[in-house]
Amino acid sequence: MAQKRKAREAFGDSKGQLSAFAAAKLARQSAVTSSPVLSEVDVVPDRDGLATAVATEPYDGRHSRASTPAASPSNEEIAEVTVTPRKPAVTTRCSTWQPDQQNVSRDEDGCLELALQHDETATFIGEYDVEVLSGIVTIYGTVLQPNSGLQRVYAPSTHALPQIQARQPNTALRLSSATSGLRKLEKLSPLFRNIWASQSTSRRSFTFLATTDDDASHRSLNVLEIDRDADAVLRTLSAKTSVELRKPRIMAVGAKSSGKSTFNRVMCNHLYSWTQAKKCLYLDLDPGQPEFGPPGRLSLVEVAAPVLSPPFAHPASTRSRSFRMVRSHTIAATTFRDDSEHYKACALDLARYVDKQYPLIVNSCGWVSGLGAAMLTDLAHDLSISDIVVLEPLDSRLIEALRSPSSDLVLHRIPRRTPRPSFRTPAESRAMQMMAYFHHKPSPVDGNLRWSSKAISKMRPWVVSYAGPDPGVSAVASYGQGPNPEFLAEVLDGSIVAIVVLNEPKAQQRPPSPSATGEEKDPDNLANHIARTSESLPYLKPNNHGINLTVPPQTSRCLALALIRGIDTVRKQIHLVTPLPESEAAALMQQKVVLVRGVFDPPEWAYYEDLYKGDGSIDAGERPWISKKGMVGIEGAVWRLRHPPMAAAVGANR
Amino acid sequence: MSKYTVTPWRGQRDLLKVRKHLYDLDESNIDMRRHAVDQIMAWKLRGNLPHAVESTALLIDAILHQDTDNSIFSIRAVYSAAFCRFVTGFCDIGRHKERTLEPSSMLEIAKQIDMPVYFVALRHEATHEELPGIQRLVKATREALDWLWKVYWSRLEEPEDLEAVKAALPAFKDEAATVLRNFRRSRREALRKNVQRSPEQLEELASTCNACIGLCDGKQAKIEALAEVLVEQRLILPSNRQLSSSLEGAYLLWDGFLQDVSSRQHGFVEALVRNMLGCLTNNSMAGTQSDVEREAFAVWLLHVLDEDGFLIAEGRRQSVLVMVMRWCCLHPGHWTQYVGQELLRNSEAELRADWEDLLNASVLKAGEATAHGETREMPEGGREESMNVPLQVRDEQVEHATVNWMKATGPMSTPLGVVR
Repeated sequence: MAQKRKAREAFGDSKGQLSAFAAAKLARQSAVTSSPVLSEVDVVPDRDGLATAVATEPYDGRHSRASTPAASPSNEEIAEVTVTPRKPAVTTRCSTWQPDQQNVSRDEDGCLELALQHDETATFIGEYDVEVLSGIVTIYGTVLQPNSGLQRVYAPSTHALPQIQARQPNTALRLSSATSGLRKLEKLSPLFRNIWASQSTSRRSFTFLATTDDDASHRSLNVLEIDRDADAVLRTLSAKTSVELRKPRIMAVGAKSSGKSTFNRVMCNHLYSWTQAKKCLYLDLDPGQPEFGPPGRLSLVEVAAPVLSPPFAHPASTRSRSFRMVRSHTIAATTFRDDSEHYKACALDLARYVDKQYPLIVNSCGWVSGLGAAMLTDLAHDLSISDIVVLEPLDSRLIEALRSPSSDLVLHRIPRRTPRPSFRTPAESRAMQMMAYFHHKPSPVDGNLRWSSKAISKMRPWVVSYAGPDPGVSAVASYGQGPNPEFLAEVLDGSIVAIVVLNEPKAQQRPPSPSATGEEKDPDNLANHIARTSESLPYLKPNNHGINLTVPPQTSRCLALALIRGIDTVRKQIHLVTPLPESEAAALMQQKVVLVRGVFDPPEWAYYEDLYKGDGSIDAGERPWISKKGMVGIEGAVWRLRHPPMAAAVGANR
Repeated sequence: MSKYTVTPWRGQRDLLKVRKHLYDLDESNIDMRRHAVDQIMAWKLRGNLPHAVESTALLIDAILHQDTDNSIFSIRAVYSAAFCRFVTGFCDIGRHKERTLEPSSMLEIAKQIDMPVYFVALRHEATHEELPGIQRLVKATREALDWLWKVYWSRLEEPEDLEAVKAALPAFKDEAATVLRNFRRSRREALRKNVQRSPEQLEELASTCNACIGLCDGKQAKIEALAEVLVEQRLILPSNRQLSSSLEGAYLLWDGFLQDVSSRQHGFVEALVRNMLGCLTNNSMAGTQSDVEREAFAVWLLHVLDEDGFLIAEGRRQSVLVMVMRWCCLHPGHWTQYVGQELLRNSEAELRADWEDLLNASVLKAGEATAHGETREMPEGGREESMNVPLQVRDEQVEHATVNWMKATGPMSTPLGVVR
């Protein structure tokens, strides 16, 4: 530890974190002069060390691995490494409202009542329930009135903070503390650490911010702003929804981090407030960063409440009234690169369930070149999109292609906005979303979601038989590349799978096909493609060309994701942890279930939870898939200067 | 300070086994390379596979591919593809680690990591010009494997030899027992003279702790053995104790030592607790004097779990509590019931909710199935047994419908990936 600090101090913050390579370079350059850096040459590993450090790194495009827990049990050290207070680059004004004796009528531990003048804005960080006592406010593009009731807002520092703006003179609000348990996830992962209201300064679960400098933890914060151009598009589309009989089908198209999902969210809220039905449908087709569920899932969701939180705080479910899951599929990957045909088939199947009396919002991928662009063009046509919102800049050829198929398609353009630094890399965002998904408790029909801070390893799993005459799992399917069957169990263990239910009733008892010709007779019946591993695990065989089969979306649906906690090869049972409500999981007994594995991100966050929570250490018995760093020999000081998760992103924008 | 990392293999041993197969280090004459390559490809699907491991597998796959009667082009293509990915990966990762605005060229990176520069040239040729001839590819592949051996495989840490550690245990235990007995003697003396807080005594305490931790040498097996000595030889029990008399004296003697070792040595408290639990359920101890000892261990156990000094980290205390509750439920008996009920009485709602019914049910179950008795190492009882039943009566369809999806009854105490 001491050496680490030394290196950091020596290299200084102004240069950002130095890699060993850069350090080595620096050391070489300064070899003639005698700069203070030279004294640190001793911490630069030798050349073999460099090679070894490169050798241990995976080469899979996920270079920035989530930060890892320290092997030492002390929490302070973890905090020291991961929470690096940083001065925000620019100060932004968040609120025009300023608290004083007149406009704060109640200021208690869990509760704050404030009066706003017309057009005044107030911004809060943290989680809170907001209730309008008199007047009208807008937040996140939605309108709240005294009859709107309590609305839960989650405003973590990872996302742009929503502003509350008074739209009438003498508007009064009550904000109260909320305890959803989401905050407690910080005990299990640093990804969730230091993103809420600072607890040292506030007794409440939220804090008022006049400017971004007010933040006690000195985080860089952004405020959610709906600029004039975006506002004009929102108004046009809302008006169209109210007036026209044929409800619009809206798809925002833009590159990664162009503000697409924020726009879609605000669009939902706008439609909720300004149309009569107070409902819209959301076709979530971005498997990398879905709005209403874990990564890897495509879904159709009925939105009947304003969306006032980042995606990890509002997973849809079949029982929820606010965000009801209508139907869902999985591509078992965070991009459709490997099987665009299946992706499209899933999307089109979901579209068949769209109720045409409501407007539709399509959340597309931020992949706007090559295959991604071709897919967007296809989808725009096949989904009968009526309005495309182009978030500039976008390739003009793509815009042309989107426009060409149908003449009554309307293009709306939103000019380029200054990109905001993102505080989590895409991989980290996905990990947060996946983790929050696995920790959310089965949602109540009404009321707010809650999250459990119990480590995944402590959650009671479902024990599912995979062999015998009436197995709970009919087959394991591999999307994309599959392993040699000999290693299927090893690949599955501790990984994420999707629970997919087939439509065909389970009772269907076909006589076993007498010969190999059965396959030719009925190629659609998956049962003909099932083989077993040496542990009797049933799996879908690849076809004659070695390509793995997918489950047809027309006759199946994805119910939930699950983590395979373990495989009991003696009793032929799989142990699954899933946030699926108990009643729905129990109902699976009567159905044909396929577990789908693919290229979900490895759930490293799950393996680390025990360690972050301080539940024993690696030395106390077997802990698969986790080892102490440096097992490979060298432990060069500079190498191990791990960066806080967001450092790369922020550093780039400095 | 070391940190944790996620690996695609379960443990270091698996990686070493693969190394043995890839580099043909096995004494046997069976070629295990195909198996090892498939294994690594499966690890690749799990994620977090070091590029050196992946490269080695790809290169060896290319070698194995040459053995069959494939076309010349396909052999050249497979060699080239494996070689290109190997070189490109090393250079890309190196460049990424560099984090500079103007990344170095592949050649510069290769020089920095001491990769033969002609590897980069060959990659260039294979990508932009004709595929190189087989002879050159074979030679380069052999050298690439040697280079990978040097920078990665040869540097793998060998896990300690468990057999050797095991063999040293009896001697270790004798040594530890001597240290501990000496400590107890001097501690008793000090208590009698009421000088237990004197500098000499604190010195003695510290040196005993250091001696024991030094003896353990960070080896889990030895930490277990230390706890075993304390419990097996009844060192922490007062001699000639009567039933239900106080243990305050023993606490005075030992608390300082036990707490210090616990805070410095991971896994010690867990080992101590396990050993005490073992005594509670050891049937051979039934009888008057032994039951006095069992009672003493039960009280000690509650003291250890109760006292804040033993388990500072709340998360760790929780996981020990779960372990104890589980043991108590699976080994029903008078003293396990006593410990279980006492723990639940003083614990948070969550633990009670998880365990109260199970603990009560375990008494009934023990009443029904006396045949099981109280053995020290009983297979996990209750829940697995009840799940086993339907597997035995395979023909009864009705039974099956109720068990193919079933929620595990007890809370879990094993880490992810460990079934039991």
